[in-house]
Amino acid sequence: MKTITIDPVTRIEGHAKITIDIDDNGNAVDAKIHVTQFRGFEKFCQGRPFGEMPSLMARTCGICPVSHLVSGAKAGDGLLSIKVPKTGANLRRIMNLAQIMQSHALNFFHLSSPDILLGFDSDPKDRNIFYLMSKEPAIAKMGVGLRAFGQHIIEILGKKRIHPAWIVPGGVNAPLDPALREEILSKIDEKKNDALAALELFKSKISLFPKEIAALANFDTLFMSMVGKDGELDHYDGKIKFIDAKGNTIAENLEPADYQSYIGERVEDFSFMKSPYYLPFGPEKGMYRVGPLARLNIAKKCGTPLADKELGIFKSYAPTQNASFFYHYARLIEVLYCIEKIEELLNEPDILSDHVRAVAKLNEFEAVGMSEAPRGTLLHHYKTDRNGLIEYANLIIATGHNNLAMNAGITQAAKEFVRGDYGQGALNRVEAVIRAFDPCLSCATHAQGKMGFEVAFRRGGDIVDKKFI
Amino acid sequence: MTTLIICYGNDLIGNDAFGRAVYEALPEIHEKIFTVQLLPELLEKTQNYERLIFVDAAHGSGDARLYEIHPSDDDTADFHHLGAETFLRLLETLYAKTTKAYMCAGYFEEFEVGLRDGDFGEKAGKAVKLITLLIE
Repeated sequence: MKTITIDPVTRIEGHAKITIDIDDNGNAVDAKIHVTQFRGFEKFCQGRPFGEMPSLMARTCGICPVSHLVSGAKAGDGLLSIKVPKTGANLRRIMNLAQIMQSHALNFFHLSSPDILLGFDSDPKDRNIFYLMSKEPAIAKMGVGLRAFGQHIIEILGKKRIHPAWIVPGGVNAPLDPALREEILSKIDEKKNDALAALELFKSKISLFPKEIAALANFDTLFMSMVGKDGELDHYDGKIKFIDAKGNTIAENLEPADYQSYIGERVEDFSFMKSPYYLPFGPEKGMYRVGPLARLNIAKKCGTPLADKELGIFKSYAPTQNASFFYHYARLIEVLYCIEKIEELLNEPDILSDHVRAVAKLNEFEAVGMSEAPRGTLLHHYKTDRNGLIEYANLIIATGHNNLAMNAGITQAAKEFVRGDYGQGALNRVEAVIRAFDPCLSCATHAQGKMGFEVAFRRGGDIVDKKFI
Repeated sequence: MTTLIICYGNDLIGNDAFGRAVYEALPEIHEKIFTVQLLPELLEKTQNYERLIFVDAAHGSGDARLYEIHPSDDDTADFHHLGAETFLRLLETLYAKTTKAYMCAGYFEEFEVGLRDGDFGEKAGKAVKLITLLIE
C-alpha cells in the first residue's frame, strides 16, 4: 500500500491536500481531502456585542463575506425580534445575488473552465486562467466582466468591494442612490447575454465528458437547500427541504432555527472541516449535498423567465441530477438567475425608499440566521448574555455540508481514474471533483467542540513537551 | 492624457500600507483608486485610460522611485494577485490595449504587522511629488 498526496489542491479557494491510498496492484482504494488551515471564529467572537457579529464573522472570507453578513444579520434580526422593512430585505437580496454571481463567475471562468475548455489531460502548465486568456480571450473577458459586475454592485451598495459593513441587524444602513440604481440597470442586458453565451458554451461541451460525468462524484445522496414558499429558488429566505437522489421529499418546511433536530455534526481526525449529516439517517446514510446543484434539484422553478427556460433544459438531462459535474451547469443558470432577479428587484416601486432598517433593543438571547451562499446553505447560530454579548456561536458553512460528499467523490474518481500507470490527467480529475463543489475552505474550517491543536514546545531542535489544546 | 493611479497594498502589514498612504495624500484632482490587490476584475476599468501609474511597496533599500514598466508574463501569477507587469500583459491580451505605465515604488526592508519605518511618511510624500511631476 502506498499513498499519493496532491498538495496543494489547485484552483480552489483556500488550502487543502488530497491523499489517495493505492493498493499493491496500483489501484486506488480510498481518498481523503484534508483541510489543513484553521480559523477559530466561533471562539474569538465570544464576549463581543452581537451587533458586531455580521461584520466580524464576514472576515472569515474574502470571497463570500456578503453571505456571512446576511446570515449574521438575520441572526441579529432574530435577537432583536424584529421584521426587516421590505426595501431593506430587498437590498440585502440584491447584494447577496451580486455576490453569488461574482463567486460563480470566479469558479467557472477562472478555476474550472481550463478543464472544460482545454481538457482534463491538457498540459498542467497551460491549465490556468492566464493561458485561457491568451487562447480564448472572448470567454475570459466574459468571466472578468461578470465578476467585475457582481463586485461593482457590492461596492455600489456597501461602499466597499470586500467586507462592506452595510448589512446590519434590522436591515441595511443606507438606502439606494437613484443614480446608482440606473447605473446597474444599464448593464443588465449585456450581462444577461454574457451569461447566456456561457451557458451555450457549457452545453456544447457536455457530450465531451461522459466518463467525467459518470465518475466525478456521481452517486446517490440527499440534497438540501432553502426553498421559497411556492417551491421556487430563493437564496435569502424560506424553509429547509431535503430530497433524496430520486427527487422524493425526505423532509420539508423545516425551520432554520430547528437545525439541530435535522443536522448532525461530527469531526474527522484528518481535517479541520467538520462533517455535517442528515441527523435522522445518521452519519453513514445521512450524506447530503448543498449548493447550486442541490438548489436546482430541489427548486420547482427559478421564477425568472430566462433562468426558468434554462432550468427546464437542465432538468431534461435528469429530473434529479446526481452527477456533480453538473454543478458547473447549475452555477451558470444561477448566474443568469441572479442577473434577472437583480433587475426585477431594482424595478420594485419602493426600492429607493429610505425605510431600510428597523431598530430595537435586544429582545431574545438566542437566534439562528440562514441564507443560501454561493456554495450552499450558510447557518449562523448565536447565544448572548443579557447585555447582548456573545456567549456561544456555531457556524455551519456551505462547504462543510458537502464534506462527506467531497470525500466520497474523490474516492469514486480515484478508483475510476487512478489505476496502474496513471497520468497527471488522472490526478487532475480527482482535483476536479473538489473544484466542482467549489469549496471555500477559509470559510469552512470551523471546529466542533475541542480544538484539534497540538502544540510542541522545542528547546534547540528537541521537542521537550507537547500539549493538546 | 487620461491617467489612472492604482494604489495597492495591505495597510495592516506595516510598510505595505505605502500604497494606501500615497492614495490618501494624492490631491483629489487625480483619478485614483485603492485596492488591496491587483485583480483581473480591474482590467475592465483600466482599459479606458491612456496612462496607468501603479503605486506599491517593494522589498529593498532606498527612497521612493518612479519608473516605466512594460507588459510581461509571470508564471507565478494567480487570480488573487497579479504583478503590475502581468496586469499590463492581460490588458494587452484581452483588450488589445498597450498602455503607457509606470510603477511608483516605496522601498522597505521589513514588512511586519503594525510596524512602519521612521521615514515611511517621507517616502510617501516623495512618491506624491514624483507622480504629480509626471502628470503635470
